[in-house]
Amino acid sequence: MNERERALALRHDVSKYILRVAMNVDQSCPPGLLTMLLADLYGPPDPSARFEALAVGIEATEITLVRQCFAELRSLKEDIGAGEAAAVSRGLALAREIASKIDRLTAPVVEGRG
Amino acid sequence: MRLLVIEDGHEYEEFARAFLAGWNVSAAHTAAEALAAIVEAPVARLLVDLRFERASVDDLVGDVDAVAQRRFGGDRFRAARYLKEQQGTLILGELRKAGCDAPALFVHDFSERRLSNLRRLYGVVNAVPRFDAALMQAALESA
Repeated sequence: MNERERALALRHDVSKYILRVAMNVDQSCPPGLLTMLLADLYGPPDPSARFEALAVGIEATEITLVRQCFAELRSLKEDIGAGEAAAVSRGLALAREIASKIDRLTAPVVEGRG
Repeated sequence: MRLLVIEDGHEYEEFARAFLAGWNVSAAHTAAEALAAIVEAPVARLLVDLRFERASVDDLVGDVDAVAQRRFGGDRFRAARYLKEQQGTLILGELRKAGCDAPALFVHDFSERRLSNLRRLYGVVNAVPRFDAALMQAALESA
């Protein structure tokens, strides 16, 4: 996989799916969407694992920051699963942060596409 | 109006049922299922996944052996990956051959050049880069 393919895979495999619910709700998630949100944040397939597989060898601040976001998401899993409002709100924000950081990381490569 | 979702998983269908208002959603997971679906009842729009990474090689549109020989020096693994990565467009091609001209929407960040090429090959094709319900609804309604 070359650099461009890896950048596109990060956007497709991680950002696109982690935002499926988060980009269409505000601070809260209707109860009927909680199962979908959990799938977005934790899989399967696990977006954190996919991110790590694609991030191998990349040295950038955004990689560290995205890892921190995923670590916080892991710590919130039980509360988000229980529908706890503050945890769900933070989970939604973390999903948006992850996508935003991946967008910034991959922009130089993707914007040069043909 | 009937919206036929074509994907290898269930993420698009879940999304459509949750966020896209006013559509009668049905789903197909292979070309064979999609072809059967368009015979079963008229389809107004197609919502198509591009990459079918979870699909069985036996279900793919495209001849893995021929692609392996032509493009990858006989490497069937790379040929299968190549077909999976663009399977949505290949299924769309099969639907067009079968007479389905329903506008198609992809959730994919295509380059302008690739989107133009898809339109040349398959007629009305639109794309949005992410699962943005408002953008998708607008694209489906305006097609």
